[in-house]
Amino acid sequence: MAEEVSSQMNSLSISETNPSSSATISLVSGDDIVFKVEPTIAKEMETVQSFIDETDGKITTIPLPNISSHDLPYVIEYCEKSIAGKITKEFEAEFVKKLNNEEVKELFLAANYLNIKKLLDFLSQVIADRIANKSVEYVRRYFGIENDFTPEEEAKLREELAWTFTGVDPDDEDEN
Amino acid sequence: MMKKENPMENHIDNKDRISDLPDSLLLHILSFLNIKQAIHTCVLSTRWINLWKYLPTLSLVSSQFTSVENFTEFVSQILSLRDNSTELHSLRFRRNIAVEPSLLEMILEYAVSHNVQRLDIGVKCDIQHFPTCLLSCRTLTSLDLHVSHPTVYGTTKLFPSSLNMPLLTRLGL
Repeated sequence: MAEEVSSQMNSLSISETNPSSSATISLVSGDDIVFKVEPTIAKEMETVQSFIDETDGKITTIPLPNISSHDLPYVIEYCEKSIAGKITKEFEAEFVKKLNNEEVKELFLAANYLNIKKLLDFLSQVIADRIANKSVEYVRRYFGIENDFTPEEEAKLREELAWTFTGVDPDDEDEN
Repeated sequence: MMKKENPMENHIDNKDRISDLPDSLLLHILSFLNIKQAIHTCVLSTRWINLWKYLPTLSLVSSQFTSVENFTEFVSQILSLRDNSTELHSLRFRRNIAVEPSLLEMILEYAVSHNVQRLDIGVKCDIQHFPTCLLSCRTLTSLDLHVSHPTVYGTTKLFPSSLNMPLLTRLGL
């Protein structure tokens, strides 16, 4: 997979003026798989780029301990499309179709860690869409949130929220 | 110790990494929910109880409210419960049914006093003129202002008499 990614990237032109930009960047996933990407891809990942900049381009192997080799190819794919200016509604719809709830969450965390704003916005929308009109219990399960309210506290809180329901249709039924 | 895990297996320990994220990121997710759902996240856990009150964006787009009173009450509650020191960067207020002038004024004054940058208003309202604080709002960068007067013959549009907005780069009337 990693080699596949790097060969796809060979067709991208590279600026000759900056010597550091001609070196391929190696991204190392948390489970020690190396993904070779062109510097233009790294530029999309602010965290990676600032790491490269800080070392004047001398270091081109970047460990990403928080990101697994399962998730990193998705991030790279999105960045490739972004550079090519090909982030369309169709692409995003196809992209998200491949992802289960866990993967969406993992990628959200990865996008945050790598500081890729477009991907973060996109995944925020995806998460919002997936928890929209769901019950509190469903959303807790979705995020893995432990309910630390006592039953009395929770009941009181729900009671206090009564004003948010006035004149509003009841929530949709849980679809899970 | 072998430490060669299948990354998919990590997913089994579904620990709450989301709640460990900084407020700004959780708010980012909340900003993509409708306001009612964003408020309901306060029941999730103590970590979430006050989060929505710090949302820097508000979208009050409602065709769900059957009566003017309910909607007015809803908006008033949101604005009074919201953290008062949190700036409101973006406000969208759209409503098909006529709103009371006092409600529109309250929303506009709230937005201006909370340093609103992007304002998108699209309502029917029998208001005579816009609050002066809006017309000289110094933080606005984007303004869409579509206010129609209900009249016997249909609607007429209310335009601001003058605008003094030094940072404005986008205007839709």
